[in-house]
Amino acid sequence: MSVVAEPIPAIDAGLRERVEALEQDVFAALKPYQEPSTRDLRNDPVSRKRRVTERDRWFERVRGEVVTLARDPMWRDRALKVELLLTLEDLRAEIALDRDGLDEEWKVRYAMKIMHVVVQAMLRQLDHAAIDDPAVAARLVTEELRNVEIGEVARLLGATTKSVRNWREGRVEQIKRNPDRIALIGQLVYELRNSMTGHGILLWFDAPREQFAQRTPRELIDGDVADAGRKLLPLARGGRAQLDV
Amino acid sequence: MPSWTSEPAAVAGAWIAYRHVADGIPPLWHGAGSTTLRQESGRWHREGESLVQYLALSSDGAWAERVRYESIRTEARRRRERRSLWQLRVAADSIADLSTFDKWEACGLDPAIAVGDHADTQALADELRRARYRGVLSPSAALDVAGAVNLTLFGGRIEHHIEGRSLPEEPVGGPNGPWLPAILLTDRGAPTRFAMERACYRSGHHRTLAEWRAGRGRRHGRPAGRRPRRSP
Repeated sequence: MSVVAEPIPAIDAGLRERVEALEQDVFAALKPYQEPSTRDLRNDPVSRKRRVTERDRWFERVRGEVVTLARDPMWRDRALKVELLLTLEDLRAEIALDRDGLDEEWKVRYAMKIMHVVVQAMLRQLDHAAIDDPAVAARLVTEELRNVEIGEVARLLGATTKSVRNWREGRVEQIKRNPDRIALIGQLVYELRNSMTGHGILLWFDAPREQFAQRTPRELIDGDVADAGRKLLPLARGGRAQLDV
Repeated sequence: MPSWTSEPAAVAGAWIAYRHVADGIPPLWHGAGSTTLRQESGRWHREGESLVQYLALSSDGAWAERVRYESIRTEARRRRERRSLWQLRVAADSIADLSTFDKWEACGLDPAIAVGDHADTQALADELRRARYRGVLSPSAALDVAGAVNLTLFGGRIEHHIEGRSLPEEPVGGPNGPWLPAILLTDRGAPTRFAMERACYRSGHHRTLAEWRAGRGRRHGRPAGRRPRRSP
């Protein structure tokens, strides 16, 4: 399961596909976890050999995917690459210790879960990099706010209704008007879209916030896009999961 | 030296807890390293320093946290929320029992800290961790109802997603392990009307604390406790 509801058009679609393939491989190994049901199956040498062989094959496939990704220039100086390789090593170590393939203490599963966290972070990083392109941001916003009246979307983005109509129909030209505003709103919508409807997102931009002296996100963006980004991105990001505030 | 005058009781137990997240986001925080560990600051931790699991002991408590965070004040906004709500079973020991304002006062701590400025609770969390508590029970700042309690666990945890059956009594690996059994109750939920009506907003007046103070004044007429020392 990706954290991303719908794929964002990546700068390098092939790279995103490779990260997604790895994410699916790790997630699939986590999901249908069925312990052998009987003592006979747990101790049976044929059953044991099959379990160990299947997992070794899975690990080799994942190892190949990880190494290929780590060699991609996109991750050359990225800490995530180091973390991915370290989790691969942790996974290898736990598999080596679990000789009968039962993983009774869930240590292999734990290493897989941590690897899944890293791969999901890589997907999010690719998404954020893609949305920095205002054309990608415009497409994302118009798609997520497809049930919102065109004039409202245009006012939010600082664009013309004609442009928004074109974007909704997939015709996204180079964006010259308010590119920074559109990219910021794209990043915010990316964070908000899994928490509320399109209309809810529009209301979010117009809701006075106590932490900003009752100013709304839209007023902050209207005032200074860069400053608004510093204030609003952590706010939207913090809404992903429950905090005690 | 900690700021409490007497140690909070360290309790062991099993709790049913609730937590809301965005659709597609795991219900618990389990980072792998510096680039995936950045949980935004909350009442009991500072971003980048540690991971914390914020749980409520009622579903309305979890929803009130959402209402307070997003400052949801209208039906229009409430009804347009789409959140996942998880139910979890927690088994743990060494949990600091600061679940009531009375218990804060008994430890020599100012009960206003429980629902006030985060810098004070973050400093107290440092002290609790140093004293080897694994978490803390505390009055809810968001759900302004007597007896509304949050359970905060220090450190990373991982969900054991249960489907098609009820929560098991025992987590894999026993109490205090990383795995918590979890059931997804809804992936398209909105805060309840009750949670919105009884939420205390950040700039709001915490009525339950005020009522407790009024009752305490009638009972004792004693001064309030101390505040923890903040990190420099």
